[in-house]
Amino acid sequence: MAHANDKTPTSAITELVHKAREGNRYAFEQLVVRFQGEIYRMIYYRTRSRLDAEDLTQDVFMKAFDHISHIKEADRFRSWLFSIAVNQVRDFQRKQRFRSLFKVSDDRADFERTEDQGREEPQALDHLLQKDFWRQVRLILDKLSRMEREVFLLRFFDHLNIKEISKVLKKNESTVKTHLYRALAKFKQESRLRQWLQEVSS
Amino acid sequence: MNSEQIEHLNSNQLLQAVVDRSDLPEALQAHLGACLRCRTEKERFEQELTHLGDMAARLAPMPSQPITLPRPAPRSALGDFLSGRRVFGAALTVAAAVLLVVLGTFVLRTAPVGQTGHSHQELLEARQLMTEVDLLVENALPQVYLEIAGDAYAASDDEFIRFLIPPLESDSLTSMTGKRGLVLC
Repeated sequence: MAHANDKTPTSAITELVHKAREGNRYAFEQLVVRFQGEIYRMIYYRTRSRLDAEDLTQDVFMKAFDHISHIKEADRFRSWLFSIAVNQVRDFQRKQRFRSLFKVSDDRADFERTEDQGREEPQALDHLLQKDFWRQVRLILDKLSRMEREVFLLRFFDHLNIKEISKVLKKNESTVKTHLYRALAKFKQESRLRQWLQEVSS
Repeated sequence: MNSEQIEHLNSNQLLQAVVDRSDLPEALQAHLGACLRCRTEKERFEQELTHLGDMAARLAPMPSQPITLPRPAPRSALGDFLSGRRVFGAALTVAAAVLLVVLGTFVLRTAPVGQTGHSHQELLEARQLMTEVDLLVENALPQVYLEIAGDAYAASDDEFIRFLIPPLESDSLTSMTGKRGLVLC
């Protein structure tokens, strides 16, 4: 499956990573431009909050900027960046769970509210479509285990291949495949979402 | 082998093919390549998943804030000065240490080895020799001969000498004997 956001050739990215690793600030800024949207979306899929996604994306790139000199394989910059993002999201969710011990909060309600507040008045139909889509996605994702959800999102939402997912999650490829297989089996049973997707696409 | 002859892929095998086609047994891979029905079913499911991802990307918000990277710290004149002084101080310390090592090495190399210890030894030997010379001046005979001659303690026991050879003026018996002698003779 091809990457949905492949605009920059891999060799050009590798070259930018080489330059950034040597301290070239401009090269790193180019990498930020290339990957900001992708990382932001990746975090948004998991946090379901625009504001948190903004903050965490900033943190991811700050970490990447601080540690770019340590990257060994320049051609694996994308999966390296995703592994930083996955860890940032995990930390964030851990803190949220800790906070939830002291404060009762409804994650779903928070998601809906953020969505409603954050939008710049889109068309009513688009807005409804959007709300419906994320509701459906949330329903299916909630049925998956933590690892199944992570692997499923990385594979079909973030468009990483099995090898990249294995690198990001630091799991062997067969483990990744097993979780992906289970996630797909559960997804296949969700006939409502699948039917909805077919209707929207047609 | 005719791929149409074997059974079509079941639901689980189709899922396995979506995850990684190469994990399927070779016969099933061959069948999937040849069988239009199985291939279409697999592709339809893959398209659903692709569409799901594309929809997510399209319906997700866009980042509204640019990423701000840390600016390199501006260099102040005071900072430069302090930094310069620190560097100068460190350089001076290193130079002094090197000079100390070089001088120490030079002194150790040029000085005769064990000079101090050698002269001290010589002094002790000289003293011992002088003591022996003094003893010989006092008594030239070796200790064995002195003992045979009964002179081993001669120098130290004057009373014994006086007992053997009493002085004339203090010995009345002798004088008397002398007188007697005179008388007798």
